[in-house]
Amino acid sequence: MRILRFILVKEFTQIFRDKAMLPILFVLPVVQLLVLSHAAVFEVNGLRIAVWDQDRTEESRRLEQAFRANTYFEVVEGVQNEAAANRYLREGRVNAVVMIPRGSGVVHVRIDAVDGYTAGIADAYIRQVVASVWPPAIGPDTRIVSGRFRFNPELDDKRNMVPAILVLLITMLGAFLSAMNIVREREIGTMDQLDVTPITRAHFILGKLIPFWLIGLGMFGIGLTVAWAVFGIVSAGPLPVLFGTAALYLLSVLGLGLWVSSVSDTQHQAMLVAWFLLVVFILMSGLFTPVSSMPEWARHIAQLNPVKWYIDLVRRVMLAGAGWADVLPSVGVLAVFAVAWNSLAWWSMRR
Amino acid sequence: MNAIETHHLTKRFGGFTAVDDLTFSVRAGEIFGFLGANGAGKTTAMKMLTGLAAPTSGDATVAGRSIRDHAVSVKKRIGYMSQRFSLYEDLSVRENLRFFGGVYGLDDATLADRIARFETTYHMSGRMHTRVKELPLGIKQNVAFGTALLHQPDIVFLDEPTGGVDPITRRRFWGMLVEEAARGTTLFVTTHYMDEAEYCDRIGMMVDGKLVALDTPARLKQTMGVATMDDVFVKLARGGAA
Ligand SMILES: Nc1ncnc2c1ncn2[C@@H]1O[C@H](COP(=O)(O)OP(=O)(O)O)[C@@H](O)[C@H]1O
Ligand SMILES: [Mg+2]
Repeated sequence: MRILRFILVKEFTQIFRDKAMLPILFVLPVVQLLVLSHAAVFEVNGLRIAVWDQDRTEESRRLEQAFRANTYFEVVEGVQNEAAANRYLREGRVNAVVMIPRGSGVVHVRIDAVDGYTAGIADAYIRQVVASVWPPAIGPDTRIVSGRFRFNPELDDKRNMVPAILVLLITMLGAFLSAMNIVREREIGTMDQLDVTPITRAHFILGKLIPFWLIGLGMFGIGLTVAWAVFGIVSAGPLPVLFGTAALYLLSVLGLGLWVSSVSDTQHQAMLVAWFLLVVFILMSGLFTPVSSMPEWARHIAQLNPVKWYIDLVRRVMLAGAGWADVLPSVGVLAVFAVAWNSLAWWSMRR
Repeated sequence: MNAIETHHLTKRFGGFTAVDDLTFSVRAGEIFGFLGANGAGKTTAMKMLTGLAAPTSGDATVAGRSIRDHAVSVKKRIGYMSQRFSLYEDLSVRENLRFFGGVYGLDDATLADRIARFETTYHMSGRMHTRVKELPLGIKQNVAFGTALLHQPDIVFLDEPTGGVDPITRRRFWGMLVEEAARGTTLFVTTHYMDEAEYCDRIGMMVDGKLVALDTPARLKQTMGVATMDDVFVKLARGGAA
């Protein structure tokens, strides 16, 4: 225990002496929450559409006016024939062309689906405008998508994003910092020096894990504070559940960092390996593509992704007010991850 | 009593034999110089003796225990100053000393006493709070040496401790080694500066992983019929075993 004390003093001294460290701890959470939560909000503004009015009746003009009056749309002029409609879509000058044929009482909509996500939203928005001013149905050119997008989903999406960003924050911090820190010892040659001392593998690992575990929890707290101060988002569920599960989750993230460091000789390598793994984990976390819309094999793999499990858990606690009893099964899964990663790391540490 | 004994100690990297069948012993309390050109296998041999690398074949005992045991009781009795003196550059001299002393299990009073003694021995007052990276190379070497000695080991391994410093600093450093050996500490020192061999009680000469000669500097020069260690080395490197 005395050995561990000296190791911890040394680790903390080095961590807080590093000039990059305080900005990482305090600026990173703020920036990530502010930037990412805005960028990732599932809302599309400024959809460019062209209205090709062949009908030229009072009703068709009312519809065109409705698009012009709506702040979600920007109406682009100059589409008055088939060739122009196709060209504007192809060149990306409009997201959609709304065509009102003469006398049919039907609206045809063509949507640029290069970006399927924007296309889906454009579709839903256009339907709502049409439905609000113009009872007739939308014509057969229109793709049918569910109408789950609402005009102002902003608030709901932020609430949804903030917990996920908190999870990403402590994931990246934990995995990167621990991996880099350990590999650094190898790179500067102090690992050999530690190896000739009576420091055991357990001492060494605990000495590395404990500081980053505490720092990760501190960062989680800072993130929650920013979410409250900036977005007014307060957890609906109990804070002890959030911090308790974060402590467990951080163990698996740090285990991952430890494992990365054990297979890397240089900080550069560690960075690449950690980056690769995190990109896979984050892309497959359900944050950008819902797990339910992944192919079946990917859905199975996603079950092995601690990031997915923990984003899920934090959302349920923060948004739905889940307590210990509700998250117990997920806690079990996180515990398995923590044990698995750390065992793997322990086994592959070559010191 | 021998501090170190090796028996057919061998290390291969793939098909390449870096240390080839070393059998020798180092007596307690002597300065044993391990000489050889770059790449001769000095560092590799030392890494096996300090437990940092496992031998491919053969064995060695250090402080009476096989190096394959990797025992904590042996670790407490040896000190190591690696080729790239591994102090923490972002920590101060005192912080390094406290850390390395602490992990060897020194209690607070002993640690404080040893650090105070270090400060006077190496004329470090006023520099104890300086970060190691801000020290000149020669001073860093002193600090690394003092750190390796803090837990008062019986055997200290020094891997090219004088690499890259001027002759005066080197001479001063060897003066410290001789003093330390006079207190009974066994010193196992590698170097590729042949003039430093004169400070050693006995010399092991390494050429391409093999130990080609082992004797006192005076006797080596005498049997080879040459005037300097440099000439001894040139002869051995050309002609193989003596
Ligand atoms: N980990 C390793 N893998 C492969 N070859 C190595 C390794 N370590 C050392 N060598 C090789 O072994 C030889 C001896 O190296 P070393 O013991 O460092 O020599 P010295 O310390 O005498 O300069 C060199 O040719 C070196 O390239
Ligand atoms: Mg060497």
